[in-house]
Amino acid sequence: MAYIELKNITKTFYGVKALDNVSMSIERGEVHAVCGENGAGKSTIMKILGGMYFADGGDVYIDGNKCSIHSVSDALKYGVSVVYQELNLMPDLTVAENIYLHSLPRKAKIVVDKAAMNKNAQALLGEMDVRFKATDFIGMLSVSEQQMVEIAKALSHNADIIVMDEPTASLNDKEVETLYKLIEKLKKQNKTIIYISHRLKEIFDLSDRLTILRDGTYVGTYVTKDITQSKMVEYMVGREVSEFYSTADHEPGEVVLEVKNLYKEGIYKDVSFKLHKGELLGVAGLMGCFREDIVKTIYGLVQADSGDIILNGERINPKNPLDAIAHGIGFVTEDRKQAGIFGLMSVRENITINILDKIKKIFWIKASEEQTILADYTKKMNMKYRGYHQKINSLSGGNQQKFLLARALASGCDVLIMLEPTRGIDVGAKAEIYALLEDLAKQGMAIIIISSDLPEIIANCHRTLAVFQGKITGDISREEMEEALILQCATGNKTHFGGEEE
Amino acid sequence: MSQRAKKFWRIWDNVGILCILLVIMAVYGILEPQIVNPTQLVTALKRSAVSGIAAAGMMYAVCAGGFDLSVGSILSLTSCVIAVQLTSGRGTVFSIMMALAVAALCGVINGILITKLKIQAFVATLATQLAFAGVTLVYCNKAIQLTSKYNAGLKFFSTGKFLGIIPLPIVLLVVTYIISYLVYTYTAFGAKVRAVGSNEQAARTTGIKVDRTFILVFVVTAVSAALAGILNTAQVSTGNPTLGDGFELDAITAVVLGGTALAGGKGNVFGTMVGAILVTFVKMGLNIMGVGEAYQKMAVAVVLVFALTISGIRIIMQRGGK
Repeated sequence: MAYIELKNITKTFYGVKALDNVSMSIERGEVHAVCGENGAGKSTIMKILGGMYFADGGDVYIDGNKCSIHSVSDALKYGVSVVYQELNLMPDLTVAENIYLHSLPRKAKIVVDKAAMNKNAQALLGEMDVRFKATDFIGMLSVSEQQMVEIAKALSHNADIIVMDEPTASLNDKEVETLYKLIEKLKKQNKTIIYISHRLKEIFDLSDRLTILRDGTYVGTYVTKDITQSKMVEYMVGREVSEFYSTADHEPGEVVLEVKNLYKEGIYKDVSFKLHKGELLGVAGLMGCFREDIVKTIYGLVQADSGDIILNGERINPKNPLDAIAHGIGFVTEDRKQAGIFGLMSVRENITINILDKIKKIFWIKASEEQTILADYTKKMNMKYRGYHQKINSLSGGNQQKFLLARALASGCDVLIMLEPTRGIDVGAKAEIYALLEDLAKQGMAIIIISSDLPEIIANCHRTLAVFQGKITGDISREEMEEALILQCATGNKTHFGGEEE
Repeated sequence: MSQRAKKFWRIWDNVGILCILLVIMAVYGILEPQIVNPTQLVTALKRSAVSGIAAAGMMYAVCAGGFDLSVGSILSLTSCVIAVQLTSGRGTVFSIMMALAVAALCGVINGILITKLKIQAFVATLATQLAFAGVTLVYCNKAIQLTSKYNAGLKFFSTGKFLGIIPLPIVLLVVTYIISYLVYTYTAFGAKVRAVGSNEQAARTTGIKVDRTFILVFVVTAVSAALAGILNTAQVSTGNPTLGDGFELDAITAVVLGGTALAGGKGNVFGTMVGAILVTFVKMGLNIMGVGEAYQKMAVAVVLVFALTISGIRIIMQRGGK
């Protein structure tokens, strides 16, 4: 039996299988990479090992013993420490306090022994070659420095098994190098490291073996030096490319929107692209690549440090969403519940909320006009509700999404930005949304779609931009569009512009 | 929850507080029949006009997801402004306009502190509560008795009768709530208040002018406090720098009793009015029965806890049903 055995692990979230009967094994002292696309289940399985989630079924064995891991402290007891993707630090405490919060060293069992705590923390940091001190406050550190603190925190447990979930997502090159050295050192101490990353280069640099997951299922475990990058991507994608076809068969027209040299410090740089009339443009990228920030800049939700947004030949650079809407830019958020619907308001009010000033007569909202708008979109989009007074939060996700789309369209846009158009909605509603987007494009709407679901982009878009670390690394036309190429660009392994590869 | 339970809560939303008021009236009727005679009821309505009118504005602040602790101080300030203006020989209309303008300015200050300086509404209005109270005392350090020479016009608000029968304070109360209802339900401003209270992030994403809406809300709250202040000054014929002390709590009690959610987004206009009347009525009834002020306060507390317990039961039922 291998050192760590995960057997038949199953985990379901709200009826969706995140992990389906996954088994994998990891040897002592190796660096084992776990790879897969967004939603493959990498983080979920590691959260189960780390005690953040509790599996619906399956067993974990470490060193031959069956483990019952129900909490993070259980996992630590078995020697498993996890560096999570999300930062879990207290900004108003010092670095040392954050590192040792789990077991503050004490004098006489009561008073915190600050001197010992700071000394231990500084010793840990010393190994990591960082520029901040143990007594600095977390709030004063940059995101990448905070990430290093997270790593130090995981090391402070002196665990034998260290899981790193996207540890480099926010690190710069020098820090990545420091992390490489650290991992080498840990390996020499015979510690086992499980490494999750979207960056294929790191996986090939660091890992001894790798396990590939796809859509919550186990694909296979391979010795890293025996597998090629392209083979690995193929396993990660796994589907026949011919399953998908673009339905956007009309030709886009002239340029409507041009983005020129957008730059925002630490977020994105050199972002330039053009959007045409009637075009469906997909934007692909992995988590943390800042693609949302790029399109939110066009809608005025994020402000760029420099660069221009040009709409129909006029420089607009919207200062806020209101400004963008006035220029005819529509936006549908990826976060329907938090940033989209007004749950306590009626379906009718949810459509007209940002055109109230247009449809009011002195003070009064013209109910007849609201009714007409609602009826109009109900017919076009086949929305289902009991009556115009029904509160929107009692509708299904798909119906809510249609209302958000209707709201954007009702404000009279000719450029539409839609983030994750089908996140959390059922198959039937998905097909309807796709058909709606295609219809809109045919009528001349220029549409930008951000989606974490690559097949969705491939099936619907004329063109795809791939984003990696805030830079556009690929501009892929419909003829060339396939998952493997998009993923190569989105992982920073390739750049591809109009048929030229580098 | 079953369909029947849902229907019950929908009806309860609209008439629940009214039911509680009727139950209390019935209890009073049994204990001390003279409390529930028409004369007493009219008196109760007249007395609830001041807190009722201020609560109408407070409901907008709460519905927008905010809070206004400064309305008591604004009430005192307007009382002093109007008294000082009248005693220095200005006309009634001019004095009222001055008072309203000062209140509107107070509201703008509250709004700017909250939206531009990003201070939480609770803290910002706690600060302005103190600041406005201080300004009031600097402006007018002791109560100004309004003799009939100055009070002739203003007195009309408290003693006048509409069509010769209905006391004007009651008319003002009802008219305020009718306007409030129309604004809340049928205007763009009302919809934006509900939108901001329901989901501020969505409101920003959608392009609603959230800051402007907030500032306007606090102007509405302040102006309604001023109207209450003018009426109260007329009733007591005195400009008093401490007239509104502790008054914000009366207004908030009425809003909460009326069924407005403190989390924002869900207001109840007429519920607020009934809430204000209920509090006044409970206190007045006990007063007539010779129960002291200390016990009156406890009684209001009991009613408040009781009303909110019913909302709590609803939440428990909703969770259980899912």
